[in-house]
Amino acid sequence: MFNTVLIANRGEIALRVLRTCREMGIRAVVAHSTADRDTPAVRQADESIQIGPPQPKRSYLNAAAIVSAALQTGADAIHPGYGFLSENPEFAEICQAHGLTLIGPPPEVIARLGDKASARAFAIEARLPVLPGGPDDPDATDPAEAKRAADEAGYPVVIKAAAGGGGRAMTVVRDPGEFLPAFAATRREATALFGDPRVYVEKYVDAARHIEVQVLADGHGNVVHLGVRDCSIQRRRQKLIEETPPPNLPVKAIERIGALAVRAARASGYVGAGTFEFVLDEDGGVFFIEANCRLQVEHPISEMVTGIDLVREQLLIAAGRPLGRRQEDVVPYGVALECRVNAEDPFRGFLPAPGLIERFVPPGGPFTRVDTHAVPGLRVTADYDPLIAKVAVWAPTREEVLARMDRALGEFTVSGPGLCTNLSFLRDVLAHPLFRHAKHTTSLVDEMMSTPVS
Amino acid sequence: MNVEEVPEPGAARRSRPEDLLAWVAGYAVELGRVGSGPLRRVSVSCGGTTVEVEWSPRAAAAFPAVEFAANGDGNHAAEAPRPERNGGEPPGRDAADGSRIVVASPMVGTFYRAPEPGAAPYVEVGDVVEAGQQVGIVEAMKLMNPILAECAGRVAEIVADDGAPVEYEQPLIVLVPDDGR
Repeated sequence: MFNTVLIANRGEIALRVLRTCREMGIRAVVAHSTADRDTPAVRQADESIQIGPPQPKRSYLNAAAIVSAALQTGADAIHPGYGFLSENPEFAEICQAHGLTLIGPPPEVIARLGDKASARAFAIEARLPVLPGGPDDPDATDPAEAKRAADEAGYPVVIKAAAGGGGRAMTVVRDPGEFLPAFAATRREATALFGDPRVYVEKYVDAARHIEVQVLADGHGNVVHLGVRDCSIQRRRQKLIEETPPPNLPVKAIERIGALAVRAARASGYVGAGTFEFVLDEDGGVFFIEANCRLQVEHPISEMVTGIDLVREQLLIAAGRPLGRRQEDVVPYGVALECRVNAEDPFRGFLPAPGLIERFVPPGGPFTRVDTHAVPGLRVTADYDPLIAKVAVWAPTREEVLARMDRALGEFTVSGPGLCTNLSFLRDVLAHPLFRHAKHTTSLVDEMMSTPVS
Repeated sequence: MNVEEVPEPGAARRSRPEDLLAWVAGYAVELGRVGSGPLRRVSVSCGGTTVEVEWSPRAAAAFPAVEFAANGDGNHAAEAPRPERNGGEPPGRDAADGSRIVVASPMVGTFYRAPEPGAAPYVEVGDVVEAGQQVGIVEAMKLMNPILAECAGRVAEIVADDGAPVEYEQPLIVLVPDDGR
């Protein structure tokens, strides 16, 4: 097992990883920017090291600074958290070259699955169901060829950046006449955001559910899944509420999708904790969309129903241990729900609304977990994402879990000058009849925003 | 200080490493020429393709720093491109009296006072230094990064020990204005 792990992240996830390290008796070093020097993760760390200014490019995205920090503090492994360098194959290679274990899959797996276009090519090769689209060559640049793929798939289609993430550089096209300008615009956006103009086309499913499978794979060929999460409640194509198991999805279907993800993990040579994402259309069709080579923001709900600490499993797998359980040993129980509490204004297009947190009273009570780095006096800045806290609750049934979440969000007080949160909006979603009856799709938030409540 | 980072073009990414390196080096030279001030530092990293060019402070005003995030991600938004914040750089001058100038480490690494073990240190307490004069080295990942005095002054204190691990912005040397006495 590792002696020292360097946590190359910030916010709630730095604290989350640190806590498991502490429980396992592993020394934790937190690498941080100047903006985060006075945060709970830094204060609780066994050691901290300042790696750069607030701009992520020069701190949390600065591979040289992070590797230097790891070497300097005697770390034998790096936990990248989510976002930042967590899915960067070059960073994984640099760590390897310096004798550091990056907690995640091997660089070649990240390279293959992290790039959306090559992940699609992988899925086709592995005979996983994918949505119609193309072009099959991710390096193709010919707009006419892309247009042909779109015409064949049938509109609406979505043009996605191969290097994309977080719902950025994605354009939905409903009219064939709008395809070519949208194609050029998405390539420009992809170049500006990711330094990589490659895009591909997929059929866009309007009334879709977004579901994903949590898998654990060790370095000895063992793979299990920890059930399926429903992440259909999204705004700006970013997840807001996640639930496991997906409501109104038969156990048989969950098992089938889980087995599909296990097959995908095996085929890709996956090692570590990972997520395989699928869309579920109105007719129950399941299509692979992408894989995430890291811990997910929404991992706590899988932990709550399975009793498995995913960060602990990540560390054990990275240290070369075999999985301690077979598929039949993973028995999810009950229902878990997570809400992401963000500093954003739902009535201004969910734009980040950073500010100073003056009052902060998180919820508590039975089966209520709050993952947060926030404390009174914390400034939520525009340098980083606007996540303030994740509230996750568990209950034996969906009805109880919805009541518990509404109670928890009702207890939550966050306020301060300039600060705006989505707390009341989250409660509106929970109360929405489509959500209550589990008839919601990824378009629910947009529908709510365009239909004022009278 | 002025930093410019360039995202790699998709085409270059898939070419042979030596082509990429030649392209990057060429770009670095080109960038170096556009600054009106003397070139201070060029850093080229091939994996992930970054070119950083720094000009001396006097040129900084003419070229506001621009940063392109080449690596976007879902959960932590690095909105790009966007201007660098003023607050991102070491404060330099001590707020208390404005007379002490702190030379701080620009990166995580190891501080060295001399060009090699056993050699005379770049500076000693009491020395007068010119703007741009080298006062030490911070080694990071086997790269020797010269530490330069950003303005002229007299060395008042050497804060970091020779061979000490240093963090970003950790004070290394303190200068005071040289009043000629």
